[in-house]
Amino acid sequence: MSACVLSRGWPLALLCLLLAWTGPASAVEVRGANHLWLDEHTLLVRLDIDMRLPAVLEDALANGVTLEFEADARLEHSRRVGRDTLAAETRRVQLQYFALNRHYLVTTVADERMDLKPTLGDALELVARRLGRLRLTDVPPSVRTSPGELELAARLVLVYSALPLPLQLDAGLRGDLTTRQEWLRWPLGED
Amino acid sequence: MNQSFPGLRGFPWGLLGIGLLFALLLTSLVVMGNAAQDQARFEQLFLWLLVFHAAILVVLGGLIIFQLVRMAIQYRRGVPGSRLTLRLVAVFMLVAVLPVSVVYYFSFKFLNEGVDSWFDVRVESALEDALELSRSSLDLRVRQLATETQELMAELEGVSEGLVPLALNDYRRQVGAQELTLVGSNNRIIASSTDSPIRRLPTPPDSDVLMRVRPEQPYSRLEPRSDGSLIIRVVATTSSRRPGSENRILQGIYPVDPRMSALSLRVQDAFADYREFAYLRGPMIQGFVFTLSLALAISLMAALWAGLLVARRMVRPISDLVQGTRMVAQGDYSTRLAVQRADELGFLVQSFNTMTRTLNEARDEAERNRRLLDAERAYLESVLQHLRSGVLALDGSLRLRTANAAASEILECDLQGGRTRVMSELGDDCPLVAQFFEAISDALVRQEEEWSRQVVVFTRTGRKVLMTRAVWLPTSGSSRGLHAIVFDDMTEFLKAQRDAAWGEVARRLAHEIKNPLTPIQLSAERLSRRLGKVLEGADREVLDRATGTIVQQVEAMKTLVNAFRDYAQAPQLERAAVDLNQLIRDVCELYRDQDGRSRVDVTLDPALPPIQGDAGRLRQLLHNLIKNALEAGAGTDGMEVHVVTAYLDDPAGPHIEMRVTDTGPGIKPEFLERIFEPYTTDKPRGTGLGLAVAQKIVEEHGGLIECHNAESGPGGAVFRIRIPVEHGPVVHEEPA
Repeated sequence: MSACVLSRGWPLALLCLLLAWTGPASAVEVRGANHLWLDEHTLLVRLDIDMRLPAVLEDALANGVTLEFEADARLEHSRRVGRDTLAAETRRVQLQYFALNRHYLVTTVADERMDLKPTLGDALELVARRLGRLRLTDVPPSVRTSPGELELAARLVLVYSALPLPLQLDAGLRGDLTTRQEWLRWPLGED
Repeated sequence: MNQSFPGLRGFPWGLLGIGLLFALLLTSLVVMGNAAQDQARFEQLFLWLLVFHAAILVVLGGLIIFQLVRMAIQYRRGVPGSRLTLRLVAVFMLVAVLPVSVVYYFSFKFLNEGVDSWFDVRVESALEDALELSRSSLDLRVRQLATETQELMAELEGVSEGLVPLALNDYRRQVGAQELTLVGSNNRIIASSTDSPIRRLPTPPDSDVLMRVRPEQPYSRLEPRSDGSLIIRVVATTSSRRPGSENRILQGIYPVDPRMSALSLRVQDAFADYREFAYLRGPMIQGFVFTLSLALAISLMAALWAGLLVARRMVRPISDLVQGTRMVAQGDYSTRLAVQRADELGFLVQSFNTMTRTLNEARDEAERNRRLLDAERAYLESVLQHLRSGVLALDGSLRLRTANAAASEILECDLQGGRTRVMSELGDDCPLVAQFFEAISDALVRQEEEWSRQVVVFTRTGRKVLMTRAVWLPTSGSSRGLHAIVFDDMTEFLKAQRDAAWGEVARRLAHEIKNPLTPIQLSAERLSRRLGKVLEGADREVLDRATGTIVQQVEAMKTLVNAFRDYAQAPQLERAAVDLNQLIRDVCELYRDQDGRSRVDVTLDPALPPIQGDAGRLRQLLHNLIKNALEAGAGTDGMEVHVVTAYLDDPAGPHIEMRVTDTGPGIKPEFLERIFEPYTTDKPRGTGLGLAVAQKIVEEHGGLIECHNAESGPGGAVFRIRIPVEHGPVVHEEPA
């Protein structure tokens, strides 16, 4: 996978393009997904997320760098050319080391919900749990009548622009600090 | 060729581009400087500026590559000014690279050492100590609250479920907790008390916490809140003393003193920031180095680009001048260069334009003169071509420069097509030219200033007498030395003149001399007859002797007059095919053993073809020559006359040659040059007309007669006669 995060940071992506850098594979990724129609307008998506940080990110985390992850899910209608996004949901979770009690602090950006975990594994599990539940609302009602053309797309990225600037540059030059996942898609079967 | 720069073509777009580029860079630096005051804004703009600079770098790189490729192509093609441009660019690059490299080196060193100086072990240690202090202080409070919560839990064991809310409320007020919640099995909230005026559902401990709680070992933890405060969460439980009763868990949430909380969080943030800062030291230096390198690259590329443009701008007048010079060298004097500068180069361009203008005018003038000269030359050529006289012009090396049509006609050679050839070479193809050149070459070689001579050449149709006059025009200025040779074919003229002269002589002789001779002779005879009868003895002898002498001399005078008449007689040749060999045999037979003291023998070429001639005249020719030879050796014993004939086909054409040689004393040198002139003889009894008549007969037959003394053998005179023939040699078949 390539090394640049496009969301809110396409200037950096341009820079990365200029530098023609291709980074190593990341273990922070969505492995699978399942869904559940809560009602005709709401689709609950559960993502199977693999949260294994690269050593360099663990090192950065231990040294006070706050990591921010973003999970995106989309309900798409595939056409002959291109796709229409029918509904989308994004969730961001921050992970940082809380030095006062030597715990890891997991914060959901949207509601500022904070949780402390004594180990990094617990914290990453919590992050995966927080990111892995997305609720797609305002789905057009006609969608469910033609499920064969529907696709569920998801991805997980490290929010690059949330990193400290020197780390962004370093990541842009070295490419091993960033994680980025292309969109994964699954056909949405009829329930 | 760039003749002019109308409109905006001469506008310095490149310099304008450089100006705009530097303005953009300056603006970006100002923006970066302002943004540096605000970290968030700096981080927001930094990447944009980075991308902007990278884009400029790419654009500059593209422009430079384009210019370099263009320059390389021009260099390879040898376009004027390309080498100078290359050198100037190299100098610009060198001048730019040296200071920038020095700045880069010291900046790099300063960055590494400067950033390292920001980090101090003592500061880090102090921060760690402060954090540890906060941590200890908070731990103490956490442990205290854990103990209190455990004790509270123990007290709640004895309180019935109905009174638990009241008890929790009392206890909460006592310990100053934000919230106390008693949870039963399956996370069932038994009772809860909170200090918030707004009733809300208490948050039960999560499963992770529940798994960590043990009887008598409460779980306690310091937790941050989103409002920036700290709380202490304590979860305690006891082992149930009553069988069948459910396990109860008490969760207490206690606020941390705001000041303590703020200080602790501040210490923790500062510690985290410092750790992060220290951690980011490497990437930060790399970022600075990267930015510095980017700036360096932009500076170098901008310098290179500026160098290219400035060099091109500087060299353009020079390359225009070189191109213009080439055009002038190719003969294009209309080249004008645009004067774009007011400096020395502009003056140079202006001078070039003045020079080309002057050259153009001079060339026009030269062209006018050339046309005038051509017209004069054409006129002269026309005059020369229409001249009856042959005209030749030879340079100092005797190379033909000019020849007119009459010269070609007289010398029977295409001389006009043989211009620039040496005369000796032309002689190989043209026999007359060879003879003519041989006759005058001594005067040409000596480069006599002015001379004239009569040249006799032998042609297929006979001899030609060429009256030749020449002038040597020595080298003067740019014109080289030249022989101007004019010659006329005087053959017919001389012949006519001579015929007329001798005709007049004959007429006068007949009139003045011959007419009185007969009366004189008759008178002498009458005297002899009349007085012979009267006189006797000695008188009679005197009379007979005197009248005999008169009659004899009169006869001699008649013979002389007849000889003149024969010589002056207009040629009335009765041409017919004559076998010359046979004619020679007949004539020589008459002289064979005539007096026993001389001998005439012949050597005849059997291949001799017949000639078209007058047999009588040719017989007289032979008589005259043999008689002349015999008279030359009169009184000499063993006198021999040898007649030889031969057929020759040399460059002068086919002809027969007859030689008459004798063994006499030869011809005196003073007579040799005028031996064929009438009345020239060294013999006491000769009339002086025999050889003149012989020459006349030869010339009547289109031949040539020459005379010289034999240089070897017994000596004597040699007469060589050449008469042209039309037919080839007679072929005699050998008997089988």
